[in-house]
Amino acid sequence: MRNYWRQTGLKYALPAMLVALLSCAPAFSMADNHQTTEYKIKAAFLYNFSRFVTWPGHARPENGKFNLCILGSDPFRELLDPLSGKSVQNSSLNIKRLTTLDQDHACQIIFISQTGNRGLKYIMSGLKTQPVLTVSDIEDFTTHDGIIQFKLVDNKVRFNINIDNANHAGLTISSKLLSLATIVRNDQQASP
Amino acid sequence: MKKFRNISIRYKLTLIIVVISSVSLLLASVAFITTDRINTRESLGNNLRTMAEIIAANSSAALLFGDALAGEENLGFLEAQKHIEEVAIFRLDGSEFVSYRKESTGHAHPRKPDIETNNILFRDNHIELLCNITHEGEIIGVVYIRSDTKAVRERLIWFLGIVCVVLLTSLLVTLMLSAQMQRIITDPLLRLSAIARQISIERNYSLRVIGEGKDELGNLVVDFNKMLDEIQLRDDELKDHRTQLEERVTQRTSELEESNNQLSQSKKQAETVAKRMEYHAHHDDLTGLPNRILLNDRINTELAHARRQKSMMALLFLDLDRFKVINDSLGHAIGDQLLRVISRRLKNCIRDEDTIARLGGDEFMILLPRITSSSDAGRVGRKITEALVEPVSCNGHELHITTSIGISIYPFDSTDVETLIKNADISMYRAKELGRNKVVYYTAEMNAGSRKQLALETNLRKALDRGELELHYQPKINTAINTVVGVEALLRWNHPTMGSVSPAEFIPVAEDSGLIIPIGEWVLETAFKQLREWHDAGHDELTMAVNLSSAQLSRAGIEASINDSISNAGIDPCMAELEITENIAIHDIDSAIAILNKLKCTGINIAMDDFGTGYSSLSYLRRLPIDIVKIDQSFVRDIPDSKEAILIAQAIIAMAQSLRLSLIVEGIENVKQLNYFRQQGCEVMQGFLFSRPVAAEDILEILNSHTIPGSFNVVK
Repeated sequence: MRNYWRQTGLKYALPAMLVALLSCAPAFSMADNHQTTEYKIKAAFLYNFSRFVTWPGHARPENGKFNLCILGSDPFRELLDPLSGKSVQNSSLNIKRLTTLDQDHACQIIFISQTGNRGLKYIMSGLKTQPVLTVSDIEDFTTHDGIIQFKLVDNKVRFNINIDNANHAGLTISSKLLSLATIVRNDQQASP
Repeated sequence: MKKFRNISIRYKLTLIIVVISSVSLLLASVAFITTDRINTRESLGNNLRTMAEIIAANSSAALLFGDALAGEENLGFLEAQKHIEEVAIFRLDGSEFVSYRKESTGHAHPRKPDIETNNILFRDNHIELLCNITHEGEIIGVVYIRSDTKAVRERLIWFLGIVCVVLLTSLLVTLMLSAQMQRIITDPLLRLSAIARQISIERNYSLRVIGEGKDELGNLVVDFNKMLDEIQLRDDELKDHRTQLEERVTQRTSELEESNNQLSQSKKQAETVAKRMEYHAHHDDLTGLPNRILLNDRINTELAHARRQKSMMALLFLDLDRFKVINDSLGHAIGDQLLRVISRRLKNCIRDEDTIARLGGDEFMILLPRITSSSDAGRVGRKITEALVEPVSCNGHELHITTSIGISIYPFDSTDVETLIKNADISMYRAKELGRNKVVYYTAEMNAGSRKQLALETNLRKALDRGELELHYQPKINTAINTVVGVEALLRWNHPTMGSVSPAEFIPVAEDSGLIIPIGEWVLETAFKQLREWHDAGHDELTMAVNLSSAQLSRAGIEASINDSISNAGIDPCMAELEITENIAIHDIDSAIAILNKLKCTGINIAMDDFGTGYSSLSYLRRLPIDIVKIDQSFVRDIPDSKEAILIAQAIIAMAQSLRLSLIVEGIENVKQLNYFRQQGCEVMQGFLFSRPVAAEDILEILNSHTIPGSFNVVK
């Protein structure tokens, strides 16, 4: 009986906890497991990005699946699981973990992990004209054809956005999102 | 309210206008302010909601990404919004994400306020709202916003101020306008009332109110003027009436003055007339002597005096003897003249203090006051009789006049005026009875005689009804044929206690009392009926002679009465004879002659009785329509012994013969007389020698026996 309560309580408490965690992201930055907390926030950010970006018509999710793809090693691990199945752009969020970037990956968002840094140029050259929101932890990502790059400011997760790259990709990013980001343009250095 | 009623209409109107406009303005203001307040609050709410929505929209990304800095930046614009007191964004778990608080307000919500979302709340001086922050339909937090409502209040105060100013201004304007505009109503009214007052003070009804306009006031003015027209008309009429009245009064006054003058004039005249009238009232016109009224006055005065002084006083009653005969035979003019002469003589016989009055006709009364003895009165009486001895000559007539005087003395004969006069009268009659030209003192016995006369009169009145009167008849004998040719009816009175009363006694009483009229008629009726009986009995040649007194003849209707009694009896008027005396026409000889003429025309014979005893002149006799003359027995009595009587008788016989009058001799008592008159040619005779007056049955006996009493003495 006890076990059951514990199980079911966990089962229901988890999404609520997650939302709470997401919305109280800065508080979690001071958590003991620094790494985990950071990626927990980043996972939430990934999801939130999808809500401020408009994809062009042909890049709309197919089969009711909004694909959030992780390219390379997955730093989020189980942290992304709660996001799976959430409603995004009238579709259901689908987590796809990719090792290589296929031609028909059908991803709306691709997180490119550090580990995949070796062939970043190559990856980006293939992706920069595709309507895919590219997100990465990689430094100078936005100056290398990436659109959104996570960064830590005062131990808080922040991000840069390259509007030009987004425009190249055919994506429209909400000004609301833009107002939270550090804007990077290709013909100039990203401002702090 | 009473105060309001008493204030002037112009103030009322102003007040009404001001009050109405103020109220409407106030109502409008209240409505306006209320609406504005509602609007303001609504717009404030909307404004707040909009602001909250903007904040919510702008903050969604910051909230989602937990970017408090960005969130605060989003709230930065609130610095400019002075009325915003607090804005806070709360996460879904209720914790505050970011907040903005105005420095002045210490009010803070560390936790999400427990109020309904999306509902604008007005609390105290605040307005607050809790609004969800959504992103793509998902609620990601709430924004709380609170604002003060100072703006609303300030706006209200501002508006109130404006309203007050507008109200005051409009009040002022209304006051000014209404002060002007109320004149539209009040000016005509004031004009009207001013004119009305002026009219009532000046009473000048020609004034009119000038007014134009066809509204109610205009109509009022018109009607008022019409009313004034009417009043003026009436006033003019009244004035005219008054003027006319005044004129009339003036006229009447002058008329009155005039008539007053006339009155005072006629009053003066009346006074003179009155004086004259008084004189006439108290004096006899003919003789200038005091009359009965003045005499009575003096008697009363002197009687009162005599009573006080215990003195004596005498009344002398004078009656001229046979004056009526003189008057009748010689005319009134001579009678009057005679009276004047006698009056003068009488006056000379008395003292100044004595009064002589003419009582009427030939009667005089002398008052002798304060006499010392009763013989004084007798002395005066004798003096008077002596004074009248000398004959009076009037128009060539030598008139011998005597007077009978009766005397009564106060206090012996009576103490009151009426009785004194009556007693003097009685004693005067006594003097007449004693043979005239006498002075007689009153005695108590006379009064008894007078009383007897009164008793006679009383009884006489009853005599007719009681049948005490009776007719006796004395035959008239025609001695030539020794036949009764007629009878003379003679009245007899058999009183049950007094016995047979002499005609000489009661006839004068009957004449004085007027009883002679019914008695006379009775005599006529009875006599002629009796004659009728005798005629029926075969003695149809018999005549009936009835005596007619002067009183009867002077009565109106006597002619008809005689004719009626004759025709009632059904006898021939030729068989009727009326015997009159010489003094028959004392009062009016002409009318007496006329009546006698008429009677004669019917065939009645008129006989002159007692011929020769009066003063009748032959000319007077000639005027009377006489058929028969009866020689008075006073002449017959002394025949044939007295030569004088024989001469008179002869003269009368001669006269009758020459005038062709029949002759009857009365009072034949003996054969000598019978023979004498037979020798003189007289045939018809009457007297005791033949028969006394006898009852009707006796006459019939005489007639039937054909024997005339005394006729055997007649020398055949």
